[in-house]
Amino acid sequence: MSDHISEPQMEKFYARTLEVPELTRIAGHLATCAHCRQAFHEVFQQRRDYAPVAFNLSPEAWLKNEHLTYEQLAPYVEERMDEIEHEMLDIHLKSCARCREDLRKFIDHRQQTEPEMQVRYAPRERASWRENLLPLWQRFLVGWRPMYAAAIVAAVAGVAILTAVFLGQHRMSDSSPAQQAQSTRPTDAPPTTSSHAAVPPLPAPPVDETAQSSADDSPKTAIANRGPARSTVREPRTPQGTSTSGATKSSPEALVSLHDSGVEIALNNSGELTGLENLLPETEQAIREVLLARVLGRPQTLLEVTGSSSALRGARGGESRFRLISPKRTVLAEDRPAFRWEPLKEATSYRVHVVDSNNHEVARSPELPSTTTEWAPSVPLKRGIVYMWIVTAEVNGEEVTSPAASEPEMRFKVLEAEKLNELNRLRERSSLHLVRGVWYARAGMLGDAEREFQLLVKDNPQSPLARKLLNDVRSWR
Amino acid sequence: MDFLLLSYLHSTEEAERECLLGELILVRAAPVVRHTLRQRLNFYVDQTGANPHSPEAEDLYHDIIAKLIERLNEAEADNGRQTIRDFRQYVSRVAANACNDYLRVKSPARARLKNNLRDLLDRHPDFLLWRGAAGETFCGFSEWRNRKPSHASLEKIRQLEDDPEAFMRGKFPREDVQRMPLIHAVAEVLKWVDSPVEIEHLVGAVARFQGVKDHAVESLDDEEFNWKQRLVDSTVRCDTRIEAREVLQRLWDEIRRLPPKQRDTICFSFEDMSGEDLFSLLLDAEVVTLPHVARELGLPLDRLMALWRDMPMDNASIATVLDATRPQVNKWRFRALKGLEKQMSVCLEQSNK
Repeated sequence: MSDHISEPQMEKFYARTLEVPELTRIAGHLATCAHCRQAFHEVFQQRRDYAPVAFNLSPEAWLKNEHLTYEQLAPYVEERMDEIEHEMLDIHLKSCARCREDLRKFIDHRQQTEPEMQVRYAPRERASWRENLLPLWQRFLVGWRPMYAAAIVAAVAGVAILTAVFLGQHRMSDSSPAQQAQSTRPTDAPPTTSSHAAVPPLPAPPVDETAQSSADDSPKTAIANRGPARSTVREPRTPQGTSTSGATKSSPEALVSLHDSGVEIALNNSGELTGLENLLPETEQAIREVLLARVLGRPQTLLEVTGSSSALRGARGGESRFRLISPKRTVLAEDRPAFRWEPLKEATSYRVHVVDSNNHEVARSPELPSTTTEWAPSVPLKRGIVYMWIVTAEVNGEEVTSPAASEPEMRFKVLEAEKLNELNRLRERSSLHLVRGVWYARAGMLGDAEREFQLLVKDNPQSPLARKLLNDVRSWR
Repeated sequence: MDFLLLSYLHSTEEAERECLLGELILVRAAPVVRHTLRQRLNFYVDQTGANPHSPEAEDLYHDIIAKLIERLNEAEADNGRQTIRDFRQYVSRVAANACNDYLRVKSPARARLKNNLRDLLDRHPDFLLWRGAAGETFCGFSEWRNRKPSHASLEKIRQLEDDPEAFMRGKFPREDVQRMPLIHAVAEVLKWVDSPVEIEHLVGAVARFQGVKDHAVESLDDEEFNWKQRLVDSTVRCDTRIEAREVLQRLWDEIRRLPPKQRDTICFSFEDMSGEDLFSLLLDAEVVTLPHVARELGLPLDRLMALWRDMPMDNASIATVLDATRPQVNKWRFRALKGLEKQMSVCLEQSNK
């Protein structure tokens, strides 16, 4: 029979500070020795201060410290994350204010910097001579031989002599008839002071967004296809194909234009926006950003109204037997929204429950007959709050709830009072679909945004931009 | 007072004192420190204080151990006048304070600025991020792809960090730098430095001249309090040994039924609220023996012991052990937990009665 394990050895076994062979030996011994198992138990309990066994299996507890990394930010915001990873992150975000703030700041950053993606910053001229010089120097270094050096020196000297001879000859023949004839050509001669003011520049043709039916308008392609005329940082260059004195500027090209309710909205390459009147500067800026970047940034408020599923909600898993239609994952202007759902065949009655984010019930419908699949509360809901709603159907004396516990919650938000005032003022100032659509989209009012962009597409059937704005909003629902 | 601590404080022989100090630190204090680091910061280190995936975790662990050694030496020199009544609690407090200090130094605003800069440099076609030979991350204009950073650039960046106002006066005499588009500021810094720079230096420079500041850090005690309230409802708690045996037996049965990768992930990462790993709990409750666990997992006993020394493990270490990626391990663990939570919900109801 093996010797029993001493107390100091048992302490080290518990703390696992022994080498592997010794740990193995003791582990094997404990399997057959009740006395030593009791000794282990005593050390174990003493070292943990006799604390009771307690553990937590909820993903919330385990994901508490799985903070958002940089590598997750873009895929999350761009919705490229797979479902499970997204769910894990959503669970963590519920409990981590810091990561929520990180995400919010990142989304703000994306929205603010989209227009900047179109602006060029590279120091091109300086880079080019460096780039040319370095490989040239490297070529000299490779296969360096003194003989090559002599050959190079001779070649350089020869070129210098020939250049000098050529220039000398050129100066001597300055007054030849051929030279005089060349100076009178109107378009490609260097400008002289007499012709400088006499040749006005031809205006560059505007770029009509509606005519570019085959253009791909993703930001990256826009950058790839962009010519120098689209830069908002550099001085406008001479458009190709036109003749000019070179001293007077050409008129700005239109980068984007859309027809909207009989009005032509255009953004030119100087950043000037036309066709929008009577708008507040921030509204105009928002439109400018969307037209420049050709993308609607996903509003951060949609995070608040994106529900998640959780086994902790109590009921067993499985799909809902009937679907809730609206409101769903959106922001609403009305504070007495109409809740709509699909009928459940065997249901004898329905009841709607509305709760706030603290799970306090704020509204409940009376028992509704089975023929009713819509209900609106009589008391307005508080503005600025995120709500969840469920419908319970009575079927053969049992309650069937939708959404099921394993499905995402149905969330929505009622627009804050200040935002509602802002919206009302906007509606008074402008009836343009683009203006209203962008406002609705940024406020998270997806149904309204979709409606406005549908009308914009109707006015611009060939416009990829109008279609993209509509698709952006639809992709968020 | 702990007997071992008492022996240490009253020991008169150098060799004996060293030995007792080693035991106090390695056997008594180190597990508590590792548990605190896991709980508060999700920092994992092994028995030797090493984590190849996280130098920060290693540094902090060793800092805490060094602090404990210093305090014990002070207490010993003081002839025990500074009494440490409960050594475990004392260690826990020292470790918790170190975690708090670590979090206070970390700047969320700067971390967010770094995320934003990386995102801009990644997406804008005129800029590029790339890895250097030593693993550092450089940034610059796309045309600088093959360029090595110059010594002069480091000096320039240092100048910028030391005196951002001089740079701003020179470059942007009439502009409000704090409202300037970030990418514009970055372009100007890079043009001025005229060389690739390490991303950390760029973040530091931009943070300085854009005046990036943190708001007051919320109290960790409040966070922990709120979180503990929420966890209470979903915690399984066993007040007696018999109850612990039943619950752990049930847990082990459910874990054994998991698909192998999920099972292994849970086994290697599981810890209870006191920081004990799964096998220690099962061993104490006499649910299993370690040779039995080895057979169940299809491992030689000595291999299991080598793994047990590092348990509970973080996902990066589990990924190494299982020859998988960290995202795969994350998903296995998540799926396993969802399944286990559901299966163990009956135990949860009973323990909450």
